[in-house]
Amino acid sequence: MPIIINLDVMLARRKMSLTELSEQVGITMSNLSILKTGKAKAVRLETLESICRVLDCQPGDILEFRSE
Amino acid sequence: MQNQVILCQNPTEFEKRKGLNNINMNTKNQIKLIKVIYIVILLSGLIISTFGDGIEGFKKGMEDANNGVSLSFNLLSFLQGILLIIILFLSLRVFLYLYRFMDAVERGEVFSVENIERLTTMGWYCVMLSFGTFLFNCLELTRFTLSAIMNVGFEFWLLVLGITLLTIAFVFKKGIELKQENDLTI
Repeated sequence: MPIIINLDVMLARRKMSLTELSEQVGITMSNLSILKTGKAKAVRLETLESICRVLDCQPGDILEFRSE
Repeated sequence: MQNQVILCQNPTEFEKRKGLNNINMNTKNQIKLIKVIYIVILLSGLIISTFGDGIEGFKKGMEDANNGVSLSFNLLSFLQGILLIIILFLSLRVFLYLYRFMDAVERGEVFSVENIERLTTMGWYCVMLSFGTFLFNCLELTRFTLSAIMNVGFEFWLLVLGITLLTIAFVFKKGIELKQENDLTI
């Protein structure tokens, strides 16, 4: 898929685990896992907003486009 | 679902969930009732046709034997026999798939790949049955003229049923795609 989710990178920078992120954002671990592994078909803006607020970053830090 | 402990801060939320559980129970009971009615109709139809037509056929055979009617090989009758077996087989398969479909819906599996396969198979079987029964009726003709064939009854309702089932299968397939898309929306 051309859109890459760089959640791992941001989590490492903020020294946060996936479990902590799921608790703070309010998404289940399974959903976060789907997002992290690139299986997600769509992301709601409010979810993206919550993740960016918790990780203190921009959407562009998490989402990356790579042409195939 | 029935043993689930529900923690609700809001009393109206509890009432809403209780209401939803009641609706689910009502739907399950309705499906159970439909299944029972289906089995009763199927069994009664089977018993009536077995005892009714079966005994009549046996009596006719006995009469022919007593009257000294010689049995000669008739290709058309043989083909009719083969066709009858195929029609019976396909009909039984349709009934079985329908029962399994209702069973799956009762268990909560509505939009599943197996249900789509069942609906598609039932649809194609019904289409084949409509042409199969037409062919069976045509084989009973004494003269194979165009006007005689045109007068043979065609089970349009079976064809329409088959096409409807195929359409429903397509709708279910789209439903699964939408569900997957929704499930994979974070």
